[in-house]
Amino acid sequence: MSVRFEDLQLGQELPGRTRLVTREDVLAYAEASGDHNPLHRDDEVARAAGFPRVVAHGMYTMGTLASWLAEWAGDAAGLRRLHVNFRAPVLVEETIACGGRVRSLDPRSRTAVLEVWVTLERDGATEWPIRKSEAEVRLA
Amino acid sequence: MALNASLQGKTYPAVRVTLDQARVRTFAHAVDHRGPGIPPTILTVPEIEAGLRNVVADPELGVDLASVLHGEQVYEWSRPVAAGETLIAEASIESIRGRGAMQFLTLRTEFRDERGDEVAVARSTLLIRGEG
Repeated sequence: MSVRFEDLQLGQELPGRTRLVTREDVLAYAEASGDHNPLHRDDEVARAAGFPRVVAHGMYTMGTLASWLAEWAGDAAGLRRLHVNFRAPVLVEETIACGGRVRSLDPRSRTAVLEVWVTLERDGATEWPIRKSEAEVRLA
Repeated sequence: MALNASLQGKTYPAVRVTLDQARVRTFAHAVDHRGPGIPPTILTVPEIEAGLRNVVADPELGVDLASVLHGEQVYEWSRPVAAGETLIAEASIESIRGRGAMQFLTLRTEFRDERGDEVAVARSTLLIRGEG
């Protein structure tokens, strides 16, 4: 079901993906990545830093975005570059949504440049943990 | 306290990191990686060992982990990484910029395989909140 370069159009949105960020996944991410900052493990540390509870690693959120893009590309070599700006925290038990839109297409290299983002809904407003970010994907 | 801007260009010792299967599986499950291959951001594992770990332990910098926020991150991949592979990662301080109580430290990390071929490059910008 992987996407073909010829099927893409400028401005086209990618089929998004949502993901509930669980405390267990954030702990597992800390263990696997080696980032043991207590902000991602200990509610008291998070509260002292001004958050209501434990915060996910920025790299957890970027990792989720990158793996979703790799699956969309359909080829482990497809994702060439990913540049993200972290703009808001993600708290555990929130649901993140990964999204993207085709910004430019290069037929010669069969490469698409995508605008990508991660959003979530909090207290009736949309937050943008990752915004104004860009991916370069080479397609079959 | 302002970071010492003369540390721009400082390179930390390269580290060798083997991406063992169990760690890759845990990582993949955590970020909902469904394939193909392994999670592209598995590079974060050697990147932290080569960079962040040295930054927070560097007495010349004096950075407290609790004051660090992640502002920006870039990966550029030359090829995908495989589970079980050993990478050599080397991090250097690309820039230090101050803006009042907020300072920006950009680390650049190069990843090579055991043959010495480039695998990827990462750039990580940390926001460091000062006391001001």
